[in-house]
Amino acid sequence: MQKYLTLADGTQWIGTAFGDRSVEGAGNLVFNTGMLGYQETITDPSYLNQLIAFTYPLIGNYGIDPTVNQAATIGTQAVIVHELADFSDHYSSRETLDSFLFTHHVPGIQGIDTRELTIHLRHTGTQLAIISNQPVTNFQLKAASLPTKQLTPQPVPVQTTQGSRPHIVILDFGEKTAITQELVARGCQVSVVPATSSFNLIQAYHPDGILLSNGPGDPEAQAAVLPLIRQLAAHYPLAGICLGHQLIALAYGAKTYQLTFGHHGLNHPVQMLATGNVIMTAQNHDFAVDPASVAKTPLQVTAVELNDGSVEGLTLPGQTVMSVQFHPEAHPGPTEAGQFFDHFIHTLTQEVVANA
Amino acid sequence: MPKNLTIHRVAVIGSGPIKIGQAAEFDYAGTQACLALKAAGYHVILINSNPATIMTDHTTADEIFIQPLTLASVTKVLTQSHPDALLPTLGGQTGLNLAMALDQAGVLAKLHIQLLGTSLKTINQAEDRAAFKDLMTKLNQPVPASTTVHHVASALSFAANIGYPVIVRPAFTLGGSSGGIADNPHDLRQILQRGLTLSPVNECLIEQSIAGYKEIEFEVMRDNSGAKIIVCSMENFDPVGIHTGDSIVYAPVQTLTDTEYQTLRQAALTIVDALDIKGGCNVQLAQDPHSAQYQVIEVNPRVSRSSALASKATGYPIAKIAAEIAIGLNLAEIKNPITQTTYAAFEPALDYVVAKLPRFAFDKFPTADAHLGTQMKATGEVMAIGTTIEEATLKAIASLETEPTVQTTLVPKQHITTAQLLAELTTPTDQRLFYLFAALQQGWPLAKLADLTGITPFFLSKLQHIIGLTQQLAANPTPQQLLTAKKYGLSTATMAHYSQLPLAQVTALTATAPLVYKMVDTCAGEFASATPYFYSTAFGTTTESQPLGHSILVLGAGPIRIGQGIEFDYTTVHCVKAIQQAGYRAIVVNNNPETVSTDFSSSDKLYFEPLTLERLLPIIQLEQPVGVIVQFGGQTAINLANQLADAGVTILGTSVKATDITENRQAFAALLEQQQVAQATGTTVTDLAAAKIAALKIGYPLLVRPSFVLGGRAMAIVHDATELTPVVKAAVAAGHGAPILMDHYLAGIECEVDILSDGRHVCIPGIMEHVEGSGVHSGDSIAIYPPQRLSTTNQTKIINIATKLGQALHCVGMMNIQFVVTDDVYVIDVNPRASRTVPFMSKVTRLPLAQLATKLILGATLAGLNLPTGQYPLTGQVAVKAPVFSFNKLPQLPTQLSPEMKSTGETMGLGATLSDAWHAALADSYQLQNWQPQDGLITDVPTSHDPAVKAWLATLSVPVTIAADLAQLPTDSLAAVLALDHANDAPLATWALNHAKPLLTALDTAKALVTINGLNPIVTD
Repeated sequence: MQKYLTLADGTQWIGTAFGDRSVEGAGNLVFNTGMLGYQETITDPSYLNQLIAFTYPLIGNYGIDPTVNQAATIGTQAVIVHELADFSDHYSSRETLDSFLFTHHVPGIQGIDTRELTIHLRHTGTQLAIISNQPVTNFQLKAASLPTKQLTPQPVPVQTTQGSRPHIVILDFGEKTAITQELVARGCQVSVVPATSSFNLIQAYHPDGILLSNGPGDPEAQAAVLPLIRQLAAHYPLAGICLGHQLIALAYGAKTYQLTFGHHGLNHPVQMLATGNVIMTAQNHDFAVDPASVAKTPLQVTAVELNDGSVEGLTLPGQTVMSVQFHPEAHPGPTEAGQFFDHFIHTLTQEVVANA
Repeated sequence: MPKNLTIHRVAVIGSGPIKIGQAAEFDYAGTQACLALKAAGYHVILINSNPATIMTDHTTADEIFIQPLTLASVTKVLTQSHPDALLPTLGGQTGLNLAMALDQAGVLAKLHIQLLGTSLKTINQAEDRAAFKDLMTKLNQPVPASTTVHHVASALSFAANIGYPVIVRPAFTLGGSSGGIADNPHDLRQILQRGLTLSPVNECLIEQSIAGYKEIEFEVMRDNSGAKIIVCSMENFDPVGIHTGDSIVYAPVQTLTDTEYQTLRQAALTIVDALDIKGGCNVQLAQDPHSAQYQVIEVNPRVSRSSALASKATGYPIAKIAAEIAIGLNLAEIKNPITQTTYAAFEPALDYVVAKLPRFAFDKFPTADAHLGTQMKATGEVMAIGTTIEEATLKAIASLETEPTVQTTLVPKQHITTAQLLAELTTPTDQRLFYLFAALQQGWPLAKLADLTGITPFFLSKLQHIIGLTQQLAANPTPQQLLTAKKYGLSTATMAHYSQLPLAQVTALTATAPLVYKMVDTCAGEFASATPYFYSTAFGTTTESQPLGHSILVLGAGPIRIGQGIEFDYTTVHCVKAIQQAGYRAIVVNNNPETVSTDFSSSDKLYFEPLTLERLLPIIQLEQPVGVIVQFGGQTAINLANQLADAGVTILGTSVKATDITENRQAFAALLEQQQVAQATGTTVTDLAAAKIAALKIGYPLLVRPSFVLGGRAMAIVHDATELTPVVKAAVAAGHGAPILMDHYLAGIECEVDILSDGRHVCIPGIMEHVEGSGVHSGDSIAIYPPQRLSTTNQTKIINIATKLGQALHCVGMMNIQFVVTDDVYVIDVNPRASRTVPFMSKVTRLPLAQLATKLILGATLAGLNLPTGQYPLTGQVAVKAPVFSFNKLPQLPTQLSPEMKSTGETMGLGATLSDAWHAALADSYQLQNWQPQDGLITDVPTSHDPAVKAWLATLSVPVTIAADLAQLPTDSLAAVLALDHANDAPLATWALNHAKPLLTALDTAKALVTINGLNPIVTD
């Protein structure tokens, strides 16, 4: 069955349908350069209402492992590949990518010259696109007719004074499961609460630290949460990842802007300004913090992307506030950025001791 | 960090002659590194004994020493050239071993030479088995348990401890032979008894078997600040147990989950950190296909064959960046030379699949043991890029230049029984891929194949898909099926074969989906880049390659094999330089990842493609070059000349018609006759019956060989009628239907010339005289410049004949002519192209012969290039070219020199006298640098009974041991071994190889050795 990928600028690609063949979708089209980790990527809530084109031409090789999903529901609108692997013998695989997407009602399109598509996006920038079963005649009308998705909130955890310390409360903007897993692996107790939670509710968990999670969309659309962030920072050690990082920037008066085609990959070099060290990071963001705007705030830039110089890390001197644009939790991607969690936990543990 | 300002002069050690396991990749790495050092302002001093290398050109390094890679010789060079620093990690194992020897001998300290890059301590820690095991234990990195044993009892108790299966590796046996995998105590006892007996030191290594694990490699770069990246990950198609050099390899990894990949990646980075690597490093790991368990296999703290492959697979120039790190720079300050806008501190993202296939020499040596194991046997490799595994694999198969029928049908030629198939799949040989296709064709299930081979079913399913495509073509050859088959990389010939449609029709029916050209840019299209590095795919819609205009296309030589080695990459690269100097843009098409010519910065544009008509024509159509040059890519390129010309492509240089004359027996004989040049009587035949009649007419001894083949393939001397039948049959088979040549065999002094010609005048740079007689392939002979035994009259005759032939054939560019001198000067062969000896003669004369030839091809005249007609003046020096064999890697290969070429590489010695040049050349080849006449010779009874040997021994004043019982031979003997035994399993030759003794396998070589050491006068003809 043929499937159509139509971009807002009118260009069209025709391929073969996979996943849920009946479903159509619309959203911003981005390309991802990771050569592995398609399952973690597709289930990453940050891709809510986006169409993901993989630049690696063979996707699905090792099937689907039910233990590595980054969220319970898939926010991704569509998956675009050069060639779908329909065979996997990997011992951890329980089904093919095709059947996984079918189960989750996500449409896919294969047989696309994804390099051509990527270069097109590099030139024209991220844009709205439609994946459809028939050629699109009226782009605006069709796009408007297609439903947007919403993330299913995680169940609000029980408040308890039991459990291991430190206790981290994560404000869930669309959290990747790996963040919780990385904190738990480092001995933390983790409670994930909705991003709309009040200060009082959060306080009731007796957290030792707060982490603002990653999540989809434009950070400026989250203005309502900024006062809470300032309030939290005044009371608790505070960390932010990706969207969480951008929100910390906004909370202290910095600005964000949209990148032409975003950073979506597993090979982004980030330089730590304090040491000059360079590490490889996983990244997935379309917005970034404007470095010039940071200068007018109390925040300091701690890390930059080596290639385009974009802001990769912030800190608030005198307070335990730290954030990174990249994904220290990996899944998928290189794991050396996990040192961010070590640093956060180390700092807040010292604070806990100091305050005891 | 800024570059190191405390040093100015940097010495680089090359890897020496090409051997199995150490090939052209080190010329590629060394050249790139030397150029990087030069660009950074350092004075580069280069030491290498291999003349057929770009690194030993004066444009690559500032001071070049073509000298033996022995401790004494390198010490002398370092003392003389006083460098401030030495970069040892570019010359393979040879370079590393020498650096360690120099350090241990105190040379580096005495001469105040600082070592750049990864430290010797690290090198030692990575190379020493025990030290490495200790480090892995400290890092909590799993390594297979192992121990060395001298008794069966200790082995049994160790195995009981770690559990079966275990691997037994006898120490110091030829090609690691007589080892094996034991599944139980009974098997272990058996294997061990054999292994301990055969090991010269009665020692075996017992190792926990991880055979069947997925073999994964990482190419890691780490800088002085500790920043580290994975340049490329690679997954072997063949599981652990087959040497990675003999495995089919895919990049990037294909069947690991992100979790597995990141675990292995982190392990590699941890190890590289602990070793404090500064530069490139190869880490090999094994992943259990059934659990999260992995094992560390080994670490190579230097550039390697894998790093060359990784560089070509990603576009990331590992050796160049490694050199820049060695002089103090860090990844975050080095620009990515591909994009020019991003930095070297990133991990390349591929948007294609790379397949590497090994190239073996077993097509030439049917008797050699072709079974694959832990000891590498491949002489070279091909790489192909596609957008599916199927396409990359099939393009790689098309690049192999093996049996054309197999390349077309994808299955072995002969009828295969189930038992054969079972045996071939269980104990793999070089042909396993084709047997796998055959099994799939017969409907064997994936599970059974996976069980027999240990290959990941995912890969097998890709092969199954290919066979499925051929079966669909056979059943229903619709245009749609043909287009699908083309999309997955099936060649036109394969499609025609299975669909039973004519080639032209297949081409026409699939024309609606033309090949498109995509760029290799390290970043999957994320950043703009201008790399002139392309591959084709039939599974895409847009072409990124824009025609260069005013260009000339050069065909490379494909994979390195015996008979067509690195020399042809050398000439290809020189051709490119001359094209550029002449104001044209040079485009290279080649498929060998080891070489300098496939470095995208060597030319104006590189197409990494199979050298086949169907892959070349679309490139030519796109680029519209002024013409194509075929003279420098060996027989590979010459063999394409006719087809290209037929397709209307302009072939530059010597005409295709003249080329045909040299390759057509009758036409060539007629030419020689017309030019009144002496030739052996001979004829051509196409079958055995005709051969028998011809043999009677010409008379024995006969030289029998197929036409249009390489390196004397299936060439043999036939002494009487009983020998004729098998030789003719082999030659007919090797010739693929082309007639075979039968000539009267002329015993005499063989010599050869390479000529330069503008079509009217001819310049002969020099005459090379062969030490071994005409029964030994010229590639296996020791060549001496200038001739030592030829009379002036005969030398003049050679010059005259060469001139006449060059003029008669209107040679434009180069030609190689071979002679035998007996009662007269006979011409035995003309190769209408640059030959194996071009790099050697270029180094001898200091004339860039291939560049000059290219200029002639582009219209220059000899006079315009200031070249004399006739013989080029003698240089005053003596030069010796000596062959290097890889016998120790190829058990069961007959070692006696014959018309069939066997050597894999060459060394060069230069000196004021023959003796000086001889000793220099024979150090890295026959390992005879220290041989003194009083050390004597060891030979065996059969050899000593050979009439010629017997006669010679009778006159000899050096001590000769005739070994009756090899077990009685002193293993510490300094004697050279002379073993003339045409059996596949010559006991004395095997003894010499097992004990690393100098091995001579032609009487003429031994005679020359004794003569040049001053014991006999040189006899002139």
